[in-house]
Amino acid sequence: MAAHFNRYVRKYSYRTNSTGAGHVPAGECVRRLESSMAIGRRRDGKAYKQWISTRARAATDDLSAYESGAVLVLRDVVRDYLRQESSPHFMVSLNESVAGVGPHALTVEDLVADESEPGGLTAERELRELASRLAGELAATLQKAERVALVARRLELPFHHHAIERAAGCRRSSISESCRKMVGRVVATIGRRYKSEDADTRRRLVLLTLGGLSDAAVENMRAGGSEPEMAALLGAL
Amino acid sequence: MKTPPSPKGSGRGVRNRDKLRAWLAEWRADQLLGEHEAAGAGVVLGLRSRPKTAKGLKEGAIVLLQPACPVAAARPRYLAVLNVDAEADEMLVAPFSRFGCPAVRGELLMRADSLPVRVLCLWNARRVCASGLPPFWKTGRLTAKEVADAIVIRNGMASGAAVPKQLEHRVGPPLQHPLDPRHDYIADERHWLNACLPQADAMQLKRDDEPSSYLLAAEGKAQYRADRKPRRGRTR
Repeated sequence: MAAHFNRYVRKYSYRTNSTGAGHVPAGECVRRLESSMAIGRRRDGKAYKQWISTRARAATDDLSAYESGAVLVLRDVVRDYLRQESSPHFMVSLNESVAGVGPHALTVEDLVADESEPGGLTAERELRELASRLAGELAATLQKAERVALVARRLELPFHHHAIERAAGCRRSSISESCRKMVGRVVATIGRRYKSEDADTRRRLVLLTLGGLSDAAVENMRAGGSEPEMAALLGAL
Repeated sequence: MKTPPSPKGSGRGVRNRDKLRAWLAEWRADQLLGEHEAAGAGVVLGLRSRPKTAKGLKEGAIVLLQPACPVAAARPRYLAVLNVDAEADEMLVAPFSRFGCPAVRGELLMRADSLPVRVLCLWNARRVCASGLPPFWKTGRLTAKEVADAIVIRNGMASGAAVPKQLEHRVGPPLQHPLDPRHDYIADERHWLNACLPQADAMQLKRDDEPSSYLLAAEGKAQYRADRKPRRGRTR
C-alpha cells in the first residue's frame, strides 16, 4: 500500500518537475486511506472495502485483483494528499496552457469569466469628476484644524505629533473632534444630495471627495506658508 | 450613476478564478496519475450477497454502487438520494464527483472531511425508478440541511435562478469557454452514469453564458425550424 502511495507521489513530482511531498511512512498512508474514504463514523461508511473485495472475487487472480481495486481507491487519496500537502506546486498559473501549444494555446485565464462591465469605467470617471467638484465646493468651508487633520492623515502622522498640534493651534483631542465632524459633514452632504444612489456608490463618492479635500488642504498649506518643520514634512509628499 | 468596478476585480471574480485553478490542479493530477493497473479488474456477474433493494431507501441516503458493470468496477461510484416519490416509485439521485473541488455552478461542496462525498454533481442528477437502480451498499446519510441545499441548487439550475448568496462559496466557477477541459470531465461523468442508469431522465447542462436564441461564433447557421417534427404522411 505504502509502496503504491509513494510511487504515485513520485510520479506526480517527476512529471510536474516539483519536489513533491516527500516519502510518506506506511502508517501514514493507511491512516490517510482510512480517514479520507470513510463516510461518517459508522461501520457501513467503509463500504469501499466491500467494493474492493467484491470486485476481487470476480477475478481469476484474487490477490492481484484485490491490489488493483485498492490502488484504484488509493489514487484518489493520493490526489487529495497532494492537494493538501504540496499546494504551492499544486497551484496552476493563470498563464499555463490548458489546451494546445504555441501562442494560440488556451490558458487558464481564457477560461475565467470576464466580469468587467464596459459601462463601469465610464461610471468611475463620472464619479471622480463629481467628487472633484464636491471637494472644490467643500474645501472653502474647511476650518484650520480640519485642514491640518487632513494633512496629518495624508502624512500618516498622529494628531499628537508636535508639528501637527502647533499647525492646528490646538490639542490632539480637538483636532480629532474637528476631523470627525468634517467627515460627518461630507457624509451628510453626499447622503442628502444623492440619496437615490445605492450605498456602495455613496461610499465610493465619500472616499473620493475626502481624497480631493485632502489634496486641497495640502495645496492650501503649501501656498499659505507654514512653519519650517511642517514645510519640511510637506516637502516629503 | 452606476457603481464603478474595483481596480482589483470583484470578489466573486477572484473567488471564481481561485476555484477554477484549484479544480484544474486536481484535473491535471488526475490525468498524470491516471494510468492505473487494470490487472484483475473484475465485474461481478453473479453477486454472492443479495443486493439491497431501492425500496427501503430514504431521502438523503448515500449509496455505493456494487461493481456489477464495468463502469461501477472502474472506481467506487457514490450516489445520493435527494428525493423519493413513493407513489410514482421514483427517486431523484445525484452522483458525487471524484474531485474535491466543485467544477461548475451545478456542483455543490458538501463536507470537507470525506473524499468520496465531498462534491455533489447536481447537474448530473436524474430521476430513476426504484427498480432501475443497480445493486448498491448503503454507506451513509446526508443531513436534512444538506439535502435542502442540494435541492435549492438543482431547482435553481432548472429554473435559471441565481445561486443564493449563502451557497455561492460552495458552488464551482461558471463554465463559458467551449474548449474548457471541464467539458471532457462532464462528458466522462455523464457517460458513466448513463451506463449505470440507462433508464434515467437526465438534465442537459448548458454553458453558463449560453444564449438560447443566438449562435456561437464557431457554429454554422441553424436550419430554419430544424427542430420541427415532419408531418405524418409527408416524409419522403
